[in-house]
Amino acid sequence: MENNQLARLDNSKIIEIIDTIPNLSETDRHELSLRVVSDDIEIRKNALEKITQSQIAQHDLTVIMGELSALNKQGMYVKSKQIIKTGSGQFDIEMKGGDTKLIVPVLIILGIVIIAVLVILFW
Amino acid sequence: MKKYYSYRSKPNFYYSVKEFDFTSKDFYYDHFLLQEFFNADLKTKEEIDKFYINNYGKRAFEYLNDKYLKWANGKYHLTDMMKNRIISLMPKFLSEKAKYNIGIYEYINAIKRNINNYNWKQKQVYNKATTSDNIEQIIKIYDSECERINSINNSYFRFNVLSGYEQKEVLEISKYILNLKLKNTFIQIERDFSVFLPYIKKIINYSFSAHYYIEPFNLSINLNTFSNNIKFPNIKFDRFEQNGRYSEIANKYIASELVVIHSTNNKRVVNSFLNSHDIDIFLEHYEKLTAEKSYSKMNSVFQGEAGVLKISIDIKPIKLLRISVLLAFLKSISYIAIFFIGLFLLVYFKLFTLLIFAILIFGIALISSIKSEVSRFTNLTKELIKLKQNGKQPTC
Repeated sequence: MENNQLARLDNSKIIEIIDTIPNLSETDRHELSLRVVSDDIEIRKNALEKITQSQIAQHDLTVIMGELSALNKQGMYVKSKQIIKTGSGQFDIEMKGGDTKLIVPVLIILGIVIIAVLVILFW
Repeated sequence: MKKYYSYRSKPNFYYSVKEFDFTSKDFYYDHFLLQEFFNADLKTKEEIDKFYINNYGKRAFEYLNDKYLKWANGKYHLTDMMKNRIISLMPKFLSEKAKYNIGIYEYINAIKRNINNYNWKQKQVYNKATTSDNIEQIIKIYDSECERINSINNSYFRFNVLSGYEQKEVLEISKYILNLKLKNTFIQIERDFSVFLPYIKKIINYSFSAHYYIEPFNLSINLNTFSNNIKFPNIKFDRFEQNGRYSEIANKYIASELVVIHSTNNKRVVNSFLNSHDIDIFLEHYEKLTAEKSYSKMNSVFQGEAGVLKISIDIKPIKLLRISVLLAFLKSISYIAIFFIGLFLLVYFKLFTLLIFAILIFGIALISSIKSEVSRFTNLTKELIKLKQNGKQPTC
């Protein structure tokens, strides 16, 4: 897919069009072709940077997900926010939570305490 | 009492030869006229001399003649009076080449002005952000933009040196370039949809929130509501063939615009060529996150060729959702309890003045907290019921 997309960075068509435009001097044609080629170099350099960026993002995501999963398995409460820049955009991943074994008993005890206080006061 | 006025004197002006780019926006007409005056051929110079004597007298002409070479070589400053005299007389004595050069400036800059005017008006038309669920909206914009381009007129001409035919050429070239750019934008939108929509179709059951934003039209399209690919009508427009005296300049300008459009297109391809790859990563990690025990929120932005796709999703595991319901319930109960305990104690100890203040200060805050917790509780309960019924991830 990526290669298919990059195959569209074809310059032969525009150079062909420049060649068919009437009344252009050889110097003009040469200057325009040079501009096309120099822009193309810059664009391809940018494409390579984006590929690298995307690979780094993929690696970072795998590492982060692995760590979060490990923390979850250990029964730890996790709160994290990650911003990962990819080749074509950005991911914001926010995670909150963790093992529920500890939270449930705490909530139940808290509930019992509240009910007990209410019973004592209003009995 | 005497008043003293101070002023900064204007620096003297010394003439120097300048290289003019007639296709550029910056054209110093006054300097161009001075240059024409000092570069005039013998015949033109004789005509200028006659005109000068007739208008300003022999003595003034002798002064001009005396200083002419010094001025031309930049060795003696030109006073404002002399400069203004030369500038005011020179338009009558311009050579054919000078007139042609002014024409180049007028021709190219009128095209640029037409294009800029259209772009400026486009910003005015779409200055209000709009959201649409309807695909027809894009087609409507396309049609109205085509209409707007075809109805543009030449804005103004600075020197009025172009013939009617040349003015028509200017207008047709402006329309051609604008049509080309518009068509390109919509081809890019079409391509963005062909990349994004298959993914949206794939994930539509997950109830993602997905929007595609097109900056030039300040339009955000809700992608949750449709999944069919769009096809814009293929409007063909012919290139206007120039036969006038500026055809060489016009072709050069069109060629350079084509190169700019080509480069911009390629830049956009590079900005978006990793979309499929990145959306795949997004979905892969979405699957992983749903298996975790945590609340997760994923917001992602994918730069397309013509617009930006924004996808956001809240992932709420059913176990954690149950805890949230319980927590919201307990919070509501405890706020209600605090309210009634306080009320009971104040009435029991007959602290009525304090009761009024307490109601005013804490009561209002407590009641609003109770209200928000109760609504949170009901929303979470609804979400939990929905989740149980669907057996899928809830809506974000």
